Amino acid sequence: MTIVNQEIVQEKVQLTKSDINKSFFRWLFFSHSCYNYERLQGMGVAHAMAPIIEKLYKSKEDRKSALDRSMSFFNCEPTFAAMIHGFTIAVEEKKANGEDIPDETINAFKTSLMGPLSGMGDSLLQGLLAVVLLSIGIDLAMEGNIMGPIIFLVGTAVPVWVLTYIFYHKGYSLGTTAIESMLSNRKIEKITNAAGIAGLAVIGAMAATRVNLSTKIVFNFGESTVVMQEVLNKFIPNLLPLGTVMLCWFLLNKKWSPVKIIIGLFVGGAIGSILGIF
Amino acid sequence: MLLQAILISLWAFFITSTFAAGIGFFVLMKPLVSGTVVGLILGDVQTGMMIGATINLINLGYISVGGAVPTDLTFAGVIGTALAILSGVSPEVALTLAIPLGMIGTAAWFTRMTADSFFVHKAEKYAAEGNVKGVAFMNLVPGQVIVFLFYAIPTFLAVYFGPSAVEGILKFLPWWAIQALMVVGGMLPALGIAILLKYMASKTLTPFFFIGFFLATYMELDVIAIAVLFGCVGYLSMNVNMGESDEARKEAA
Repeated sequence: MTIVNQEIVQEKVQLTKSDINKSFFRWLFFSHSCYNYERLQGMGVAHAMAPIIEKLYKSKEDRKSALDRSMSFFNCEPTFAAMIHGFTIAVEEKKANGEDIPDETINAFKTSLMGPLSGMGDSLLQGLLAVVLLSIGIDLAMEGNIMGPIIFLVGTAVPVWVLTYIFYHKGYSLGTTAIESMLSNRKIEKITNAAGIAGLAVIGAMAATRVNLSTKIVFNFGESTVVMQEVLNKFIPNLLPLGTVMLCWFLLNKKWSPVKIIIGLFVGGAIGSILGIF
Repeated sequence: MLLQAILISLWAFFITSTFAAGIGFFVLMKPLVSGTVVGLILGDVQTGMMIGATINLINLGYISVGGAVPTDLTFAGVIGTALAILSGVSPEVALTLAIPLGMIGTAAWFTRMTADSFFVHKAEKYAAEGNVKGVAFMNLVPGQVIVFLFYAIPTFLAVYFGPSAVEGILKFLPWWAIQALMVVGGMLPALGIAILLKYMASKTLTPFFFIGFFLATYMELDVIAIAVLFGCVGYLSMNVNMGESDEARKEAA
């Protein structure tokens, strides 16, 4: 967008903040409207770009190729994906104003950012924020405290909305290089690690409090009886819940499917219960 | 009962549809939230919330990657909670009830994602004509019809006709079987936790899981305290070389 360009291109189209907002709302609501195996969020991207395409391109041919570009395969954590869309909008705006940017460049850029942004979004939002707030929420809810679901609802919804909005506008105002430097491997690794520390400690606590398994085994030695669970409680309370989690983890690492493990738990738990072990 | 069944099926539609403002999948579909609302509709928020929270335990590790889902949260959370409240079972039994529902629900999810693939081709025709509104329409409307057909209607049928079937089965079940279901219900959250562990644990970070476990076991700290404590530890870790791979350290040097 140089002054030279402005002189050459007579009808210069300038996007306004409200155009970006229109696209933001469409992405927020409709990213997964037509979620499908073929393009995943591709249709959602096209929908989000619709107001931008209508404003930037007037001819049928231009609109057709712009729609093709935006409808291509896309799959990314939706909140962080906002940054990609913001940036794509900036690129489309340049393209509409006469800059020569090939379609492949735009698509290559989108595709290359999907992975790292998903990684960051999944570990921060799905891995850390949702898991920690969900654990707290479940904990409170099971004690009958209505704040449980409310804390989770507000604590997750507000960041999703606010971040998607900020990323949309940030993406538009940032350049590719800025986004790429933000996504340097080292930084992602550090953020993922920090998220992992808090997330793991919380699910450790959940393993202790929310898995229930105790043994009913009682040994009789003549006059004296030994209640197995009391022995365990002196040693490591919650040993059986921890053991169950470790067993599931082990089986998952052995490539057992969750369904297979569920069936295993059903069979093991039921037989144990019927035999009087649990 | 008819009105309540309709409201619950509309709730199932809303959280699964695109109209949930981007928080359907992340927030509203979680049984903790969806079950509480089902409880509200059925006039027992407290029970709905506790059952929803219990069902949510096994889905703690619910992370969708690339559209593959291990279980359907709408079926498990909404139908599961409704059936449990209406037939008066304990949360543990509700959990064992919700699991098969969630598995059945994956069929609805699969149908939705397959049907949506067809709409892409219709949208491509509009794209070829440069018809922007047509593409937007194909993204928005047909998918929601599918959600209505495969989520709202099954939910209505299950909530309206299901409870008597569940009650019948429960009456038929002997005590030892119900007890076994409760033992299994207590164990199942372990899987949800294990799925998260597999996703998050790395060699350097795994000890934090055990630290969390032992702090909760011996010091009886609750989850909020542990979350705050280790949120701070995580933040501090960003400024030290904790948990970094050797390559990253070399890169830094």
